[in-house]
Amino acid sequence: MILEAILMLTVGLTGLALLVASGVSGPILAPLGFLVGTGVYIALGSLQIVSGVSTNPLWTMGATAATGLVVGAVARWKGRWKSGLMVPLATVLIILVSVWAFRTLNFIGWHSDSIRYLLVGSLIGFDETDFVTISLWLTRVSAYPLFVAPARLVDESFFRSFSPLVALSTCANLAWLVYESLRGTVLSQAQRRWGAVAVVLLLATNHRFVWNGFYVNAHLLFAAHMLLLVGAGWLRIHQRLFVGAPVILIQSAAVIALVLARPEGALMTAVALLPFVCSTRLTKLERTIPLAVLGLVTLTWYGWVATLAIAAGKAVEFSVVAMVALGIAAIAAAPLVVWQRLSPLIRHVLPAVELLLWVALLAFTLRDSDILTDSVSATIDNIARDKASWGSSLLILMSIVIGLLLFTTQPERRVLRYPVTTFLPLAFLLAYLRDGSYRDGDRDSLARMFIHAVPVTILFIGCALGATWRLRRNTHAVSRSGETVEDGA
Amino acid sequence: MGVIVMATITNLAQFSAIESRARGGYKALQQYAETDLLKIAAKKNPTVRHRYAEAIAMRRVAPGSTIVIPSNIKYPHSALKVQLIAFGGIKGFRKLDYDPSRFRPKRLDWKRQVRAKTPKGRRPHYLERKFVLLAEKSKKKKRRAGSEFILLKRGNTDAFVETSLIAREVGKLKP
Repeated sequence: MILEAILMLTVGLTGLALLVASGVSGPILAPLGFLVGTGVYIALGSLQIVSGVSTNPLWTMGATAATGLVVGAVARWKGRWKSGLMVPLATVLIILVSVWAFRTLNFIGWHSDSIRYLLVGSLIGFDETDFVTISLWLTRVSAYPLFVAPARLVDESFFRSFSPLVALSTCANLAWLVYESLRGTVLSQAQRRWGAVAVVLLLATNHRFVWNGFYVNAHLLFAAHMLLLVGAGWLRIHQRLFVGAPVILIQSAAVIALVLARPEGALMTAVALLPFVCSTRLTKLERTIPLAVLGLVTLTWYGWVATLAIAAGKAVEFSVVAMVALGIAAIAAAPLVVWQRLSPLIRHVLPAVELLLWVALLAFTLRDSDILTDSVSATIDNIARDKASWGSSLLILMSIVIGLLLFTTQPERRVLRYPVTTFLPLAFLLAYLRDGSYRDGDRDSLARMFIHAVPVTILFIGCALGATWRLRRNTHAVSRSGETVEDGA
Repeated sequence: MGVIVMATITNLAQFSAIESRARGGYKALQQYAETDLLKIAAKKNPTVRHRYAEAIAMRRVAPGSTIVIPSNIKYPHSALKVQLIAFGGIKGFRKLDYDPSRFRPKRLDWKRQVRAKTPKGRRPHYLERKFVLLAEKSKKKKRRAGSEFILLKRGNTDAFVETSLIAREVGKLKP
């Protein structure tokens, strides 16, 4: 229990220190800091793996803590530390109580994939990463196994409080994002509070969210960071919160965690990041740094996997080559997106990419329709006939989103809408890339991947409490500052 | 707001029905007495039991053991080696020059074997037959921490034989 508490405190307090140093303050530091801290821990642990130095988790924890301490000390020295002791102390208390409670409760959600995560985590923990196969590095990546690794040092199979803490952070972040997003609308403060409570209840009563809160897998970690990536950028654009360093820090930490949490992470992240990269309401640094981080992390990880394959005399898989190309493209695009001469083209990028996803899906379908028809059939069974334990929740969420898109409007909403509406074509494209249809039942990959989009979808719905009906748009569709706004539907 | 409240009520209304239908690891609020996920999964899931049988048994019967493996050929398959390192609780490997499929010690008494995966009196499940562990009979039957086992191959079965049973034959093998 001691090492588990130390790990969670290291992650939580390091993230908190980085956020305070970047200028964030208030109670949100606790849940936001925990997730930002996971991004730092994942970055440092993955660096240990690819650089070939010892992967002993104590080194990763030490490096993470050192990062937090150094950044915190520098911020205090330069007079940027504006947080009192209340929030850090509350963070420590919440984490300690959570670790104790979730260890005592011992709720576990699992699937045979969970054991693969334990396997990779064990090998990282025992500093035996030479035994991890290329296939395991590609399918399990590094993020979740890095949190399993320290548990092996104390002869435990995994730390039971990690996933629940990610779930709690997700709920708190969602509530805060919705509450802040509704500032400046016609809603009163009490209504905003109730709105925040309502969206959290909508998420927390979802059976699959609760299951993911105890599930030994990276799905919820991915969903939590997707929420941060989109939510932080949305608040930056919509409410002018997190301007500068905070949004860059939060989005960069989220990008690292997303790329290294799931095999499709880099692709999904690139699509979710696109609205921010293309937004003229962000500064050059805010647009380029997260994109450059995406490129750098993707290129480093998949480039390293490619060298492993070459060294073993094996052919480099197409997916690895594609990810390396994506990494290079993101790095190359980072300076280009802010190039003045390209700005007339930038506004066409979002619809073009969304269209391209559907066209690519159509092209794959024409080549081999079986994968799509089987996948669609299984997915309909899973979400409409409740074969994957989602109940009717996905249908209800989809219906609400469609209704909101049709009947309401909100400035710059496309940054929230984009990762939601591109999820389906991307998910079905992945079926082709992995060369296998989705299946019906709980064990299906897509059925489990739906959680990636659920918190962002609920954020979209929650923020729409401040949207205006299309028929009345002329009377209410004005931004807080009164400046001209884009219709973001 | 009303729509969000209705959706939440729907979630709540169907939660217990989904929970009662969900099986095994898919239950949202499944509490376990056991904390080792591998043991939990191996009990409930035949695929897991089959895939990690050697490691589970080795960890249960002989934690901290050294495993003798062949040095001159590409055996055991890395998957076995990987699971022994990750989950077997072994101390390490010692490499000797032998072929695990052809090395047949004369003094080996197969009747003294301990079927680490099979409870007493029950016929082993076909998935469990891939692994046998032969150990010296002693008063402390269950835990043989710190022993040394040599890996042999009999058909599709991996046999881990305690080297003290066949000390003379093992002694003749070169590193």
